[in-house]
Amino acid sequence: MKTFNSYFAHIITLILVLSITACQAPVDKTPGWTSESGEVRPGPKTGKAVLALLNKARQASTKGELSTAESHLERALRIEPQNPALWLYMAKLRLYAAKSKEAINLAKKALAMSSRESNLTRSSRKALQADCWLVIAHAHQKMGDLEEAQKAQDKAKSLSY
Amino acid sequence: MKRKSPLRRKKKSSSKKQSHHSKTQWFQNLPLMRIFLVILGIFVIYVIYLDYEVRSQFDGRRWSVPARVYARPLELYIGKPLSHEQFNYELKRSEYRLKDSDIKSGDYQRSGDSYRVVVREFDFWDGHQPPRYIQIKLEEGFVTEVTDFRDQTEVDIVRLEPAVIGRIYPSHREDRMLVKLDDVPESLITALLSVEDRDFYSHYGVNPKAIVRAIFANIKAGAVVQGGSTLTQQLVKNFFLTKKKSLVRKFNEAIMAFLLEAHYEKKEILEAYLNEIYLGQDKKRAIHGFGLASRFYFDKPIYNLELSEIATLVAMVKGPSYYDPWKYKDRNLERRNVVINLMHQSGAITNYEALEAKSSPSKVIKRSKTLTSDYPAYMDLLRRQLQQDYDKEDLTSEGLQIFSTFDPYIQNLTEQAVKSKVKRLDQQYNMKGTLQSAVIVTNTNNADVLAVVGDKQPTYAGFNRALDAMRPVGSLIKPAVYLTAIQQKNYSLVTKVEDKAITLKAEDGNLWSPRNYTAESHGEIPLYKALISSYNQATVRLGLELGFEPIVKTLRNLGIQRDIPPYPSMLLGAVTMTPFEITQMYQTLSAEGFITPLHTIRKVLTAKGEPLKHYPVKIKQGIDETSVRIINSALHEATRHGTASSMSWRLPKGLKVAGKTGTTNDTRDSWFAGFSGEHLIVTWLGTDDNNSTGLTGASGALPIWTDIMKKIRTRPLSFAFDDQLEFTYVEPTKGLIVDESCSSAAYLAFRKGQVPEDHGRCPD
Repeated sequence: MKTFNSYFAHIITLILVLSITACQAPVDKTPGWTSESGEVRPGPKTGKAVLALLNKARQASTKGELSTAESHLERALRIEPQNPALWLYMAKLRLYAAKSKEAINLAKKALAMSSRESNLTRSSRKALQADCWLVIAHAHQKMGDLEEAQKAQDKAKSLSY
Repeated sequence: MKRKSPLRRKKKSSSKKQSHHSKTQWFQNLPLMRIFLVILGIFVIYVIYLDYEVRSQFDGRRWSVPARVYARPLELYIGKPLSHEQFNYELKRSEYRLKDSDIKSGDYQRSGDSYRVVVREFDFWDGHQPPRYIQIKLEEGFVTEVTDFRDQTEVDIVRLEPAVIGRIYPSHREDRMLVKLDDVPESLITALLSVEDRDFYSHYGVNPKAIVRAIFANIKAGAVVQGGSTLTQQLVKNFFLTKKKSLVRKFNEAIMAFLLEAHYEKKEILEAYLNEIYLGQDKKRAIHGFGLASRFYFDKPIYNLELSEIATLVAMVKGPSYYDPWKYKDRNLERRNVVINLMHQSGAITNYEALEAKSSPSKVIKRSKTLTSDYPAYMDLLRRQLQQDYDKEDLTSEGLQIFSTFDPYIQNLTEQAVKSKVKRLDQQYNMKGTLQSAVIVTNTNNADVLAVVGDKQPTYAGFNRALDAMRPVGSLIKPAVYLTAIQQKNYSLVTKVEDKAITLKAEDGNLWSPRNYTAESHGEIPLYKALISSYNQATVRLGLELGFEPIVKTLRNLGIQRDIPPYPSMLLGAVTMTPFEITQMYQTLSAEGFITPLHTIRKVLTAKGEPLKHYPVKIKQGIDETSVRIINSALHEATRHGTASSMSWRLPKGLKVAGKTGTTNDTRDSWFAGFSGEHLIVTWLGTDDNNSTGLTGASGALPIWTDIMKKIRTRPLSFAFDDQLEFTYVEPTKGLIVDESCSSAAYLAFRKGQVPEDHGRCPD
């Protein structure tokens, strides 16, 4: 169990790093919108607005203003609700705020969304999913459920080879 | 406590009496004096009481400021789906004015596809947004450009400040926006003082000079043209006293004014006056204070008022309804010019300034009439959630700002659809005006409640059917039965079920033989076919196979909190629920098994802009997403080849949706619950006394649903290529694999390993 705990000490820093890399490139895979002409067509990419909000969220979270960061993230999610990176970021914010149960639920949502992302490359999807499982593992560990934590950690490991 | 002996006391008093004999004599001889002293005593006590009253009221004064409820702000960014129609509606709703040139805060210009908008500054819950000078271009229904038109820089994202959609009044219907003395322009104060109270800075609350002056002026004019009340007296009148006119009140007013001046500085009294004074009426809402009056009449912050506007406001102090600038424009202008003259006489402005201001036309804004409708059903839900989710103590504080999830554009579309369709159906089915309706629209991704209608007359604030009508839900419950099967991994959408007559013992001991809507039985069919065509006998047989407990558990995991009695009739929706509860159930389906409680409130701030305890996004996985995705693929099929197929030609091409019709016994209730990839809409039709309507889910509730869905800019449902899922085309008789070109083929989701292997022929 000792190795397990020291592993998590590393994970905390790893999550910090990943939260920046995983969110650097948000992906919008909307199949498009219904339009006035009565057809579904994709509009211009919304990634710019989402990145701007993510930047704001990041600035707020580094200052420790978690709820402001969350507000910015909620805005971003309203624009790209099916973007798993945003859900994952939200999960991490909850983890920092010591709300482990909520972090697990959000990470699961991110996982469910990641399987939707048909345009994600196989490797980036796996990295994202591994990250989700790490959040889940960490949250379980915080709640004292080491068995579940171990299971989640194994899943993360199997995804990141 | 020790008591003195009566004897000793008597002794003492008698000796006292003796020593002051002469004085007592004098006192007794003057009964008048005695009465006077008693009165004086009472008066002193009375003044002490008034003093206490004045101080406690003034120190602990809580301005009555209603809570403001805001719609969701419109976000503007490249890629946002936005039509010209919607954008113009939103601008109007947030009270932007269309101008040809020289646009200022709150104005906009349009040329072709491009707009220039000066977005007003606004304090959002996550920070201040300064005024923004935005150029925005809309092409083919999307925002394609957002820039700052002053320096041509790109803008990533900007919010239009949200429209106020309602106010919650703590007690009476007073509305105000508090101002600080420092924010009030000097000229407004000089105007006010030169008209209402010239000696404000030198008197002690009451001004005998002014009273004498007023009396002479009134005698001279032969009418009441001038009042002698000081500002302090006017404030006292507004602040502490009733509206009744009497001499006693005048007397109290004078004493209280004097006391107020004794305790407080002129500055404090003036500030209180500026915030208290009544300055107009907007239907049931009373406009108090110069801060709100400035917004109400000129749509400007108080510090931006021009001289002629200041004079107009000061003119109205004398009688806001008598000098109403809309109703009595000339009378108002005349009074305004009197104010300007008085300002000139007192030396506050030059002759030139006075002439210029007097020649200015009335500058009050156009009153928006059609857009002031309120939203009783939505506000009702919001009020309930506010009480449920926030501390009572916090809610009593004045001037809360409530940021809601309300979407004014979608609400408007929904209201239009309900009004026109219910009217037409009522006539068509000869319902004599009894047909009623309720609709709820939500965002599938975050459970924001976007629009609520609780009556066929959406602005009528009566019985809120969306929240309170308890109705049998009929076939709307069926997806829970089939989802229970799919969760038990030995079922797939092509597992065979029997649609065959069945008789069983009901809860009341009688025998019960459910029939299909068409009275026909269909024999052995694939599971999905029974769901999309809503076969009752197959559903009951499947339900009995699964058992009630797991089905009730599925309903709970879909977010239904009500106790569901585990009786056979439950399988066909004999349970009663409200449209709101049904919306919650389908919300969880649309969110692929994740439960988020439907909510109307995003954030609540105090008057000072501090957030009240925030309840962030709540989310819980109720059911695994793979099972829900499988059921949703069947519910999509219901809109292609099932009971809801009539919608398919009415919706925009390529808009994939999923949904379920519901019809109850003798067509008493007509339901439809369905969602796209972005919006969930639940519609209900029926009568309040539970009469038969002749409407099925498909002929009543569905057309309203379609009407709304086709007008909303929405994303189609997209099917996830889950690691655990595979999609294939199957035919409806045996569930065998067929070619995509087969017109009756269903595109369905299967767990890996459960995909049917046998190929079949496309039935005719």
